[in-house]
Amino acid sequence: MNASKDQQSILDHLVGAGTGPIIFPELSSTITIQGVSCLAVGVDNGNDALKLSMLGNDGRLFTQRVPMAIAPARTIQSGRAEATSVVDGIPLWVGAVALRHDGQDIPAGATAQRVVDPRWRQIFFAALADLLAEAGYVPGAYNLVVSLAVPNTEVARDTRSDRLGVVAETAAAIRAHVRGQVAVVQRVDARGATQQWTLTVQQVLGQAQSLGTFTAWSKSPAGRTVQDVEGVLVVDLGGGDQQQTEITVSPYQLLTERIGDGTITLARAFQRSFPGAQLTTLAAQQALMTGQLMLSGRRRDVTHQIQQVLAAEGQNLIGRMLPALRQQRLFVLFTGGGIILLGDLLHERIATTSKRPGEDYALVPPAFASELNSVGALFNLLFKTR
Amino acid sequence: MTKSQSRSPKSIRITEEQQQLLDRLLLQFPDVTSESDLIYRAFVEGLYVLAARATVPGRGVLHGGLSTAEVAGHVERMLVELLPFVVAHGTLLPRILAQLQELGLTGKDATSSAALDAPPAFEQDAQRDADGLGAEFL
Repeated sequence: MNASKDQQSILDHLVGAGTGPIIFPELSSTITIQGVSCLAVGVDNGNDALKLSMLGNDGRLFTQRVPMAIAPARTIQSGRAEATSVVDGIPLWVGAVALRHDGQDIPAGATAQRVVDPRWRQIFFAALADLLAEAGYVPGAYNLVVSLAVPNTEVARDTRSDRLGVVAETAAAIRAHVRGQVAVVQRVDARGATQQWTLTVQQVLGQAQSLGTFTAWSKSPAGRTVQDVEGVLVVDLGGGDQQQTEITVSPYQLLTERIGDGTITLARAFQRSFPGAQLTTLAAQQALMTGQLMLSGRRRDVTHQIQQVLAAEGQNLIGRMLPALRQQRLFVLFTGGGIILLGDLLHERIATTSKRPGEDYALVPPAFASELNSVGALFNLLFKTR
Repeated sequence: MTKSQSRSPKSIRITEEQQQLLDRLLLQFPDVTSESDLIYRAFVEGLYVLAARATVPGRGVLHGGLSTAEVAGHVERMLVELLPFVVAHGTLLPRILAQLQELGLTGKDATSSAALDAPPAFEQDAQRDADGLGAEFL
């Protein structure tokens, strides 16, 4: 944190901005690829939510977390309307808005299973249009290059080329259902104002999810390596999975192990706290993140129930991370949206070990734990195209 | 512009010099997978330029029926990207900018290519590491 500016990592820049805007001077999302001017977007295709990142024209970073929920938009006869996305002519509520209206979850699974679901496409393009609007781009037609983070288990060494890359099944699904796709999205805000976006996914850069966190932690915004660590164990507590991934750069290696379910186990326990509410797991995940739940027409503070769930189930999740702390060979980097819920418990457990913060391990601050993979994915794309 | 990625084959005749230029340009764009893909990119960019020029009333729809926002968005991005090159190597634009400067309408030496922000150069290590760890265009 005290390093000179050019020795600061991307993550240091995020933390250093405090509560103000995060600005990377001289950078923007405008890139050229295949001779075509495009906008770069980082997308972490999480089971519980899409996390997206891009830069505005002034270098300001914009991120979004969009729960993977969708519902047909309905007419609200009176009162405050909801923001609606019309994707390919179909009016929809997506993300948090859909959760407020009993929206459906998109089933968790491998990338190849998820991207074929037309609802995934609808959420994806609606989220992209929202991100561009928030980042200050004027409505219109845009070519996008999407730096797409997929589960670590979907990146493997190709035996013919002896190179790491996205596995064939995932790559084929992305080529068929993401790359080259065009969508017309109309955004109708709560006041009824309409904007239209025509979005073309010109190209897709595939990569492992944890590579995003590794890049954000180890590289400066100019791409300089700012950590003297050659081997890192990234422990990612995501919505669907809890994974640990060993990343080394000399030689290039990426070894992933799924060590259990992610915060979905907390969501299921939370669901059991409200047996009559028929909460979807995604709605439960959202309640865990926000501390609030709508029940019988009232917005209720559910902090107490969350604490009970964390006390019972959270320790199980923490327990699975302890082997990572016992090993001495690698620096340990804890990340993932689960850190938002379990950061304090994890700190307590680490404090009982001999591990030193900054020297032996780092915990991604909760404010950035959910979106950091997408931020790193965005920079991996920028690094490759300039 | 297109709602579908399906393409119909169309034939055109090009000169030997144009063919050689294509061959040389192809080397500059490693992400373009084939000569026909390069021609397609040139075709798409060219169509937007033509659409911007299609402004004569009474000769069918203006701008080929595209929205002005869509045409302006594409052409503007092309222009912004090419401005540093034109300022550095063109003849007309540097003179216009110099005149604007004399009139006090620009804040700094706009005739210098440095006046327009060049894309930042990233450390090559970053790209190499991302490649080595499996980031790849699909």
